[in-house]
Amino acid sequence: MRHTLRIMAVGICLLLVAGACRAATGQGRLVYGLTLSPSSIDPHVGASSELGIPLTSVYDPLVWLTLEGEFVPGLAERWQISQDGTSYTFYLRQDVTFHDGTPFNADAVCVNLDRIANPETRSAKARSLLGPYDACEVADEYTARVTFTSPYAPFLSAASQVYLAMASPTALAKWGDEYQFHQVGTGPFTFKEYTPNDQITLERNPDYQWAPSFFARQGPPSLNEIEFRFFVDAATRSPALESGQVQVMGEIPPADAARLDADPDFQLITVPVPGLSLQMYLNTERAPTDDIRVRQALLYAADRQEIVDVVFMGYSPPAYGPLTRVTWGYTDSVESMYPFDPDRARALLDEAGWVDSNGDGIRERDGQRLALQTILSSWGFVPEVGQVLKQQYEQVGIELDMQVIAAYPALVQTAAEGNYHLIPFTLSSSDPSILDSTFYSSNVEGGFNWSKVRDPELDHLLDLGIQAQDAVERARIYAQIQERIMEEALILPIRDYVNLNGASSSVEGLRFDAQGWFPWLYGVEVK
Amino acid sequence: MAKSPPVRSYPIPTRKHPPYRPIPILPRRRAWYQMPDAIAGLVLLGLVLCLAALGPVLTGCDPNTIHAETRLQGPTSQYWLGTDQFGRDVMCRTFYGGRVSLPVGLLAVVTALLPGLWLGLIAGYQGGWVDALVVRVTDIMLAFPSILLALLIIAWLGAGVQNAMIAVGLAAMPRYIRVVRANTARLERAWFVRAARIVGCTDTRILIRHILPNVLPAIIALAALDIGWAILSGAALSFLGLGAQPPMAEWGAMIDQGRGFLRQAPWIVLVPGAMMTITVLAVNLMGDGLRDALDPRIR
Amino acid sequence: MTQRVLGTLPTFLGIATLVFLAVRVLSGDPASVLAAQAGGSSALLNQLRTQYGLDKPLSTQYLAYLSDIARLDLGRSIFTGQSVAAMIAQQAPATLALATTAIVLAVALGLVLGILAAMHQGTWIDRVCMGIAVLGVSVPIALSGLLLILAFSLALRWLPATGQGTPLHLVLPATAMGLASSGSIARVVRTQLLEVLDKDYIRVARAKGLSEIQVLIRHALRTTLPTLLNLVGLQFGFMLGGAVITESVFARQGLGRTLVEAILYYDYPVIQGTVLVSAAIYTGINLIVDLAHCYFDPTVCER
Repeated sequence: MRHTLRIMAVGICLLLVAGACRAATGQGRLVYGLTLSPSSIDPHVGASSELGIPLTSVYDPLVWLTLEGEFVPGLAERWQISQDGTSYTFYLRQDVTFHDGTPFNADAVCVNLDRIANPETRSAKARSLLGPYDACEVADEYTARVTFTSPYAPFLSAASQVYLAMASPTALAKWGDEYQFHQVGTGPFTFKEYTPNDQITLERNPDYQWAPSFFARQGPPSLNEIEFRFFVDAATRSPALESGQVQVMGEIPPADAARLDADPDFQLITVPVPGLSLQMYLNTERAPTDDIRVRQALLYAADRQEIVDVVFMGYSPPAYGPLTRVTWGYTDSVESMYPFDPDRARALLDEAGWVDSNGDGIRERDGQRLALQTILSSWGFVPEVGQVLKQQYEQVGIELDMQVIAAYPALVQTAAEGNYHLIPFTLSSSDPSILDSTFYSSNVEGGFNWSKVRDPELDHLLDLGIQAQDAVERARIYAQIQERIMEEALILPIRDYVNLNGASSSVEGLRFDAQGWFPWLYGVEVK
Repeated sequence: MAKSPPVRSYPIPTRKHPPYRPIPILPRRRAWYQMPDAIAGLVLLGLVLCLAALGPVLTGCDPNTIHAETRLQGPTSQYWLGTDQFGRDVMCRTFYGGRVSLPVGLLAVVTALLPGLWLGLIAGYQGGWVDALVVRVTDIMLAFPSILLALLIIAWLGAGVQNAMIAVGLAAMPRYIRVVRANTARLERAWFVRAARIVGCTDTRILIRHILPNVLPAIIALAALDIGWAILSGAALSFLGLGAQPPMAEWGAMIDQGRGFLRQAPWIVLVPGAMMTITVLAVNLMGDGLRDALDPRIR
Repeated sequence: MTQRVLGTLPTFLGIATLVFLAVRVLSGDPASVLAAQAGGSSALLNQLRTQYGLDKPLSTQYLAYLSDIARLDLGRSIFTGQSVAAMIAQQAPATLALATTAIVLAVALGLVLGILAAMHQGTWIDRVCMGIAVLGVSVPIALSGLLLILAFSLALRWLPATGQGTPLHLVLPATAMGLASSGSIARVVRTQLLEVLDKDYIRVARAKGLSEIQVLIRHALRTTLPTLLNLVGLQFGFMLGGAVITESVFARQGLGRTLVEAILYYDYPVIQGTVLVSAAIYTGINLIVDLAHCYFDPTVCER
């Protein structure tokens, strides 16, 4: 018995030591916490931003978008855009090789773009980034010409995103459908391993010599290895960071953010994300939200500042328009369009014929209660937002019937069925052309136009926005678009998305790119 | 002596004839003062029920109004048990939560118990193809992941707390069938059952008067614990978007949503959690008492 | 014995049919979700439907499904394209390790609590033990898991909070799951022991001069074993499917999360494959339990 106890004690000690050894991260090793586990991490196929976080370090884009909004050479040394905007010619660097030794050239570019455009790839986000893509032509070994069926101004912005990643044609041909487990790019880190629900591991690329000019560092990266782990449960993210098991953690809940910020051993990195704000789409095809006065009442009755204070602890600014403040082309004219004014909301509802006849606090008309079916996604703190909204609307006599949807596919399906008055959604993008996805009339069936608006004027403006070549002109057009969307009260904007990242103070040089989601791990050092 | 084959039916016709004692469902074998545990359980449960039913009436409190300025406060003179992340009164929400969680927890257990008891008794008593069928169906239901089973039932019935609880109950039913069936089968061969048959008791009477009291003790232990488990399963389903929808106050949902604030405001989780533990404890104590009263064998 | 094994085949058929109907009843069409994600044209939708055989009549799909299973072909995930068999092989070991460790902990704790409570029935020891058992059942794993992480991983830094790979990674999640199951085991052990402890053969054993512990282990526990084994089999089944919360909180791989995510994403092949494999594991465990049952109480097997 004593003998057994002794053996057990020794065994436990060994286990503890073994565990401690494995958990230690020396210099040059970083553990990064991701949130949800995406269904596909193939950048040409998957749509989740989560996949971009590790893959931004595995691939190089043709051009880089700096935080100041400039396009800087990447794999393409220089580029030309034709007068009419339908043709982009890229003159590529000649010294780049993929991680598997395949040389990078114009042929690789075309193989990648064609793969994205191929309907069999079932590309989600990448295909929409290509817009009216027509063909890619190998002009000579290091010159690629990409042509579009109509002028497409957002292409440079698209080309700077990880979804249009340049993957090795050899690897694509070799692995086919399994490519997501054996990814090969040209970036500062090589893709070592991916175990779904478990981890993604990247390793230093010692041959990396083509970093863009805005990095202080050139040549191979400082970190040796990066391990990404998944943390689905929001409550465990902060403990994992604070106990040292990860050095960087994404999407820290606002409840924990203040504590991390105040702690000298940790840093809180807040990154505003460009693209659409978190907004509730108001179904214009279903009564009573088909009445613009009701929609406008919803906008006047919502106190967004209160929502932001209660749910996001002030870490997100309230949104007043379809785009977030940091998106290129944002116009602040939307901020004054619908200030919080419950009296105005009540007047509008009275005018629309909704009155509280039986004194229960909720308005009726023709025997029907003003009860709006509100869909809430279970992620993104939307249920909390819904609860605050519900109370705010009760003050003006509107009732919200709330239903929480557990996962994205069910949300898409509910949207397709159309049985809702309010439904939330958000998409991120550095270019305002993202507004096409949610407001263009052709996207009502099967797309993300969940307010079901078919406005020819809006369509026309959106087309102009994509085709205009001049930046000033584009900004003017998009300002008009945003104002029109708000005039028609198509959406209820809630807040600008701000990505809250926590990191240990031993991590230096962590910056996030112009998309807001993706870290540039190339410049990171661990002290 | 060779094992005689089980005898199922007798040529003697059954008929009512005196003396025919009425069937006492709960033969009292102990006086109430001999069951302190059961009394304690009853008192506790009564306390919880009173709080849930009368608490809101007596305090006139409001469980759903959001007060941004009083968020995440500890116990104060105005909010005796603190406020949650929306500034809502935790004590009040716990009272209202009891109004939702207690009945539906009970609903789930009853949904599991009644059909389970009935099917198990029949299967164990009859044997033959009925037994084989019930065993087969039970095996299938048990091997099937309970979450998928619950989702199926909810897809059929619709969302909402009641339907979620019915689904949870039906998913738990196979367990009861199994236990009841095993015990019934064992008892069916017992000498006193044969004696009852010889005397002319109907099968129904045998089941209710002789077999059921011997089977109940085993299930009561299971059922008492299951009330707590039922409430928790409801919370688990709510993370899938089924079950209680916000802003409904319900203990499981309160615990689940309050987890994110465990470090700065633990009372959001602890108050409903404590209530739930007390409820489960109370039901267990009462269940023990009930079983002691019914079981002829415990000293 | 062979009869028992063969008897599981109709059960499997029933499970296979049930899951086939289940995924088609659960209002969800993976083709439309995929199509919506990839642009939403109806041409794409029809193409996807044909690709996955969703446009054929139900009976044809059923027969194809059965023949696939007979050939042990579980298909490919609709969303990741990975072979379902490979996915399960990747995720199953973590779940099995977790469930096994959790059951061992649950039984150990349950036995200790139940025996203590039965031996000191009516005293404060009895009440405390049953109180602990009740506490285990009434605290949700989401909460107990988080508390364990905060205590042992954050405050004390003894154990890793998340992930898998070393036995140390198993400690916290298995403890959370084991605590939750130990409650019912403790209660059943207590109940059974109380029924048994005043039987004649126990009195004989005591009269023979055996100490209480020896009496307990050699005689009383043998009688409780059948019910206990039965309960263990059931709990293991619950753990296989119900580990999803533990796996989410502790960021572990596992069949529980795989199944729930497949359900949320309407990924038919993965749902079917995971359910069949879990059912197979569960049936295997129960066969072992039944055999053990026969060994300890031969009268049961004759029936």
